[in-house]
Amino acid sequence: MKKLYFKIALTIVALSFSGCYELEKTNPNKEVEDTFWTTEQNLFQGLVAAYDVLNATGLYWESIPIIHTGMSDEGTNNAPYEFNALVRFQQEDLNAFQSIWFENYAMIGRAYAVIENADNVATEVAYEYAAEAKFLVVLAYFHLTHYYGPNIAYVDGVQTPADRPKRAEDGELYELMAELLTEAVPDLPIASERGSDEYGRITKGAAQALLAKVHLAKEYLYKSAMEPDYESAEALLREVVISQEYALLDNFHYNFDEVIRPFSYNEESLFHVNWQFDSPYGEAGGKYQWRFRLFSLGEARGAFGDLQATDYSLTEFRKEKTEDDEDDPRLEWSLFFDGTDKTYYCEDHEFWVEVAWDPESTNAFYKYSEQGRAEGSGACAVDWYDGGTDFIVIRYADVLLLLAEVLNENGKTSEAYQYVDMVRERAGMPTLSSAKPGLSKEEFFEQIKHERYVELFSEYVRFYDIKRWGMYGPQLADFDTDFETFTVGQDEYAAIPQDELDKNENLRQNPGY
Amino acid sequence: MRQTINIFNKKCWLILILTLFGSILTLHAQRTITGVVTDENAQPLPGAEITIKGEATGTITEIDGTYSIEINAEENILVFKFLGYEREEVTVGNKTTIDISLSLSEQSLDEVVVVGYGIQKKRNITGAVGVVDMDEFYQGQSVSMSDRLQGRVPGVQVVSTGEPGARGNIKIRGIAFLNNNNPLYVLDGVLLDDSPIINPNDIESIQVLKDASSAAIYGSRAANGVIVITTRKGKKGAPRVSFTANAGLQSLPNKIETVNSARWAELDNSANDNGGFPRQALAENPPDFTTDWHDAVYNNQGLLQDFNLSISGGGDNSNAYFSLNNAYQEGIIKGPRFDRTTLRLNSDYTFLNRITVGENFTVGRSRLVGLSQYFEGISNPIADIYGMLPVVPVYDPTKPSGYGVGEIGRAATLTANPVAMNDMYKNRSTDIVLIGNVYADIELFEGLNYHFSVGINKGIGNNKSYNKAGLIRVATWHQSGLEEVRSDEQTMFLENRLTYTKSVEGHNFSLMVAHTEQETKSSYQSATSIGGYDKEPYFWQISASTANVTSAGGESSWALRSYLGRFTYDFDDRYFLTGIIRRDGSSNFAKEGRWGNFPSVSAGWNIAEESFFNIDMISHLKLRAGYGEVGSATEVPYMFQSTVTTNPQQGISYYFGADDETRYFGSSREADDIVNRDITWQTLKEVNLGIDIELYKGKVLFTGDYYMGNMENLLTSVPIPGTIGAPEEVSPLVNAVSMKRNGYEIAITYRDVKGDFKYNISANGFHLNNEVTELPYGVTELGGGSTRVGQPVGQNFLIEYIGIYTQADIDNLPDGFTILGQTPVVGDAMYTDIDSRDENGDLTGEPDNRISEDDDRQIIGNPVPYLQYGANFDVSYKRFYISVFFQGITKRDVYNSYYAELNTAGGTTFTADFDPYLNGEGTEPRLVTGESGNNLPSSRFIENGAYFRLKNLQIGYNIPLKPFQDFKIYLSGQNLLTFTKYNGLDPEFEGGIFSPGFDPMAFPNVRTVSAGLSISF
Repeated sequence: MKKLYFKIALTIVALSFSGCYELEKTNPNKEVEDTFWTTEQNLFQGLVAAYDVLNATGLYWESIPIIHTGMSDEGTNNAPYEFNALVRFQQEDLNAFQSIWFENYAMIGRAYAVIENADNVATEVAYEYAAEAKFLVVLAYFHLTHYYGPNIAYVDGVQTPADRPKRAEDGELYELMAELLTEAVPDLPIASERGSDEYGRITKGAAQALLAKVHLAKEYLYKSAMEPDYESAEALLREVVISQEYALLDNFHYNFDEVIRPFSYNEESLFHVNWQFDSPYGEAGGKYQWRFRLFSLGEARGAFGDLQATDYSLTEFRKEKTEDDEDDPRLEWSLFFDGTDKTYYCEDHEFWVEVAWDPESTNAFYKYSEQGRAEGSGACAVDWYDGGTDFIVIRYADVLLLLAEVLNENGKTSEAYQYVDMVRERAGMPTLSSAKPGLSKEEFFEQIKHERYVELFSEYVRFYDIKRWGMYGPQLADFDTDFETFTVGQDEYAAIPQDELDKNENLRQNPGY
Repeated sequence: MRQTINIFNKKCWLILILTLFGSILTLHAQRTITGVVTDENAQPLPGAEITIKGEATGTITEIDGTYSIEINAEENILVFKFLGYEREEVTVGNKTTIDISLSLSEQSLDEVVVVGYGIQKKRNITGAVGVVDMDEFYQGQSVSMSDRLQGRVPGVQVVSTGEPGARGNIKIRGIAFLNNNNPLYVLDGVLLDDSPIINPNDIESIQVLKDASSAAIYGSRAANGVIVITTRKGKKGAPRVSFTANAGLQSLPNKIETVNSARWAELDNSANDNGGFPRQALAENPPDFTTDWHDAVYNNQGLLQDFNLSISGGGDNSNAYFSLNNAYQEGIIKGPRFDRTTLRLNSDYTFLNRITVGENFTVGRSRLVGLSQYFEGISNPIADIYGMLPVVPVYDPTKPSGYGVGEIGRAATLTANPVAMNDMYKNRSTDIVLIGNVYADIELFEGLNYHFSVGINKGIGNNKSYNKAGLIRVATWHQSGLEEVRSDEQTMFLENRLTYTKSVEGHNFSLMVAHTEQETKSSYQSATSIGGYDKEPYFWQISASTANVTSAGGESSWALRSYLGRFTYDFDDRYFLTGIIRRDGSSNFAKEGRWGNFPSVSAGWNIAEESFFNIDMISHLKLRAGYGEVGSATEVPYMFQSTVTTNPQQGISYYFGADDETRYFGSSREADDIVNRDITWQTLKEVNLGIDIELYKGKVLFTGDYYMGNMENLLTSVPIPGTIGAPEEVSPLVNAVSMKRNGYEIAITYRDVKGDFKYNISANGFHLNNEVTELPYGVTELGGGSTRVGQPVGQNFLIEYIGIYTQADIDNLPDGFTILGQTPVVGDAMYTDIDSRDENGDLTGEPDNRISEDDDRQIIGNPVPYLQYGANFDVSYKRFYISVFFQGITKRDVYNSYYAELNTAGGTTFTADFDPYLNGEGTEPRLVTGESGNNLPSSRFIENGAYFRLKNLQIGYNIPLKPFQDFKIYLSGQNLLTFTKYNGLDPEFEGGIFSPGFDPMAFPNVRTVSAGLSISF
């Protein structure tokens, strides 16, 4: 009898070890990351999330327009706002503008979720998504390294809360960026393979052009320990041109105003940030329209609000004249200057100068301000409800000028002329071949600086150019008085947010802070 | 040879006892003692135990009370024991016959105590287990069980409030964790996270497992201590019917006097004059009335009543206990009222002599109606009383809703009119609970028992709140609205337990092994409509709304699987050993960190039983030592799983396409849910040393415990680098903080009977202390600076106030001295300048002649009292009895939020005793509207929060009345007297975990005077 009971007892014990309730629980309310990244559809959603950051405050919605313009020698500031100090290199708050850090790393993190999980799906489409994601990682690093310098946190995969990424050594991020884009290029379709509903997606040409820019920034990213890789850049830029996927628009200014432009597809754009055209500002916090360049259209001061063009900018535009001895036709589409025929929200230049912070300073930015809409609709009031013009990050004119620049660097100055000519001709300027034939390598390079200034003015490109050309310093004070307060050995790079340094002891503050 | 055995007993008792003991003993017996053991009435006591002190050998009496025992030396002492009777010791000398009469015991050391998955004799306990004196417990008038535990068990801190239906907040041995410090409640074997909604009268016993060695049996659930509650069962005999009724009135024991309209006007004008602001119209021309907002809000006659009926009984094979209870409590402010109805049925049935099946169930419903303390965070009537101004009338027909409100420029206050709030906002929350289990106990063979039970804890919550549109606050028109939330939570418990007990020659062993599981499933649904109730007649239903209705809902589930065992050994009432191991697996952790092991070992040595011990007055002297490890999980399911945003509402999207027509929705790791997959158990490792002393045969009992524990892997939210990839800073939970704590607890009881006079005095006190030993990832402070390494959690972190400036002080000020950037003048608050920051934002440790909250805050005082104590005096004479219970704490430095709010400039009234510097006189800082150092939180508002409170006083009489066995009437008062220097409303409060000294201006404790009746037949 005892034995029987004992057997029963043992059976009970044995049974109990099997367990009745499941210890593996899955959240019934939400998708869980562990199981999410397994389909093409979900991978695409992850990719969209990475693109989504392009519209964020720390990127093209606010910070890049302000910082890339204000901190280059194109823009200056005399308004009493927070970034005033920043553009004069007097920022004392080491945690200012943290969204630049957070959101670019968010783009990197979201993109790596796609890159790392593409193997789960392992289809051609999945790897195409991964290639697009790699482009976005590089773009984010391009922003970060040019703002914070090359020694930021080195993130090359999805992070866990326990991760404290290392500090990138000189050039390490160049190598990572070059590697990612080199991998991405073969997996990407060319522009004409994209349907019109895919306009805005990353293409092979965009990746090749960005990779060329990375190669040209090699010296900057290696802190002068290496030369720019002109050879690789030339090959890539040539491929873009040879592909015949892109062309200059007949009208220069069509690039900057979707209202004026009679067609939507812009063959001059290699890559742009897509904003929803004509959507209400209030929707989703306004993230589908960009805030122009934050030149305070909400302000009574209008064009002369938060940030304005330097006095020097007009001088640069007037260096060369048309054959009829007129101003460069690009001037009136780029600057709102004393003597322009253009209006700003239906008011002329004189009106705005009177309400400016500093009436002595008469140059304002005009490009991308969508005056076509204001005039066309008669909506002359300051209108926040329309900021839908897509912002072109890589424009074909930029590619042509870069190609001319690298050809010149590679000793092929005569071959380089044709590409500058294309850009000048479209703008309505005499060709360089006719205006300034036979320039030396050095002279040609000086000419390239001018060409890039007037063609790409206030397109947030010059900030990168002056950094990679090693010009970023007090010598720019002649063009932009903000640089008078530039501290050599410090202001080459912005301060890494102090909070980040506190949270990750692998990082170090940039010198001088 | 006897000596040899003793040595062997200590060295390798197990083997020897089982093999040799019996034979050796019989060989060396020398003398025989015989006698009779009887009770007080000279009736023989069969089965009484007689042992030789210091030895395991013994015998028991026969049916006629006779015994015979062999001893080998004259100096032997015989110990006579019988359950429920006083223990007696007799030195043999040259006697050969020892007859003895044992008297009934007043003592409780032989009580059995429920220690979790089994019972133990109180005498055998080796950990720190607090046993609640239930006679004292039943005298409590509070409708909540938790409140009645206040001051009863050392180490158990209960902070109660007078909010209707509130269940006091219990902490055992203070703070162990940074997230949750609620103890585990075990109600008849059912594990509960919150103090259960039950009828206190149904409770048979309450034990508190305080230390890790005793709580380890509950493993990962036990790190905050365990309150083990056992409900009543029917007793063999005729049915017994009991009825108790208690009714009383509650009132506010304390009031903060405030200024009248004229004085308010004078002070408000001075604030605006000093700040350079225009005077307010109603301060320039104060009205001739003064609104007493205190009287408008408090009703001061809140009814409290409690009715309880129970019927119990039992036969040879079965018993049952049934009860019905209704409790009703109104608030002392107008509006809220609480009622609770519970039913209980406990019964069991034994058949085949070895199988018992039974159940314990309670069903209850509690309902809280009316605006209670907080309503959606916008109103706290207790604090709002002081936010309103004496110049604002309660009702004002000129205002849109007819209520007086503040007005910018006339009499500005942002506070909502608390009377209007109560009139307009309606709230009703109902909870239905079902807690219980069914079980079977099977004696498989002698000594081996199998226990199986299935338990349930189900709660259904329903909360409905609604309000009309109106204006009850300055310039704020609120929309009408209605919200209904329904929630459902159900936990099922399974338990399989085998217990084996064996006694061999005085060596008692028990081994318990068990497997338990539990699973909780919860869900909620809510519907909200804002603005849809603007036309009469009002129908307060979701479907009647004319506006949009939004809804929400969700589900969650978690499970815990446990394997546990306990081994106990005791020998001859001298040596006690308990070993526990529990292994828990929780679904709230990822696989890798899921399982935790929680062992403990504890031992006791009762020196009084040793042969060498012969201090007669000490009948029990036990030393205890234990070590245990217990854990705490996060209660939130899925915390280790990163979730992905897929909901278009969350806004992640991007437009592609030339015409920007197509918006694609994106998915990313959700920023809020970036979680640490590695989170795992928080653990407490604790050593407990204790002593139990019983003097004069139980007249005096003393228990003392000292503990020291280390808490490791405490979960806290730590901000992580932006490189994680979220667009904003995220702070997931990590196991990172370490702390240590120590403390001591003492309890002493003295009881005696002198003829018709019986008395029982007990007192207890405890001290506790904690310290943060490690913070993670470069985090230097938690709780806004209140918590740092090397310091206790939650210090008062404030700038130090040292008085007001006189002209002489101003003359002596260094050049450039500023407070908040302003140069102080006579009458301004003077603070200590201790620190500054360098250009990198780091503290330098050097004063800088600039007072700012950023760098001049310091730790002020200690918000935790050195000692918390309770004392109880019960005296009865014949049929009268009186019971007095005091509770209190020693000095602690608390922040008087009332005074801080009132006696600075800005939209409130002032206390009547406020004496600001005005017209060249005054002892407190002058009032300055706008930014001013005089408005800063500082040590100016730190007060001594010690109190000594007459918690309970009861006087009763037992009327001899047939056919009642018991007919008791009594008068009772709670919180009748409070001795304190604290000027706030109530010194008994609990702040936040990082701000324990900050008065949250919560519902104060109330004074209750009640009368009651208790009858049974």
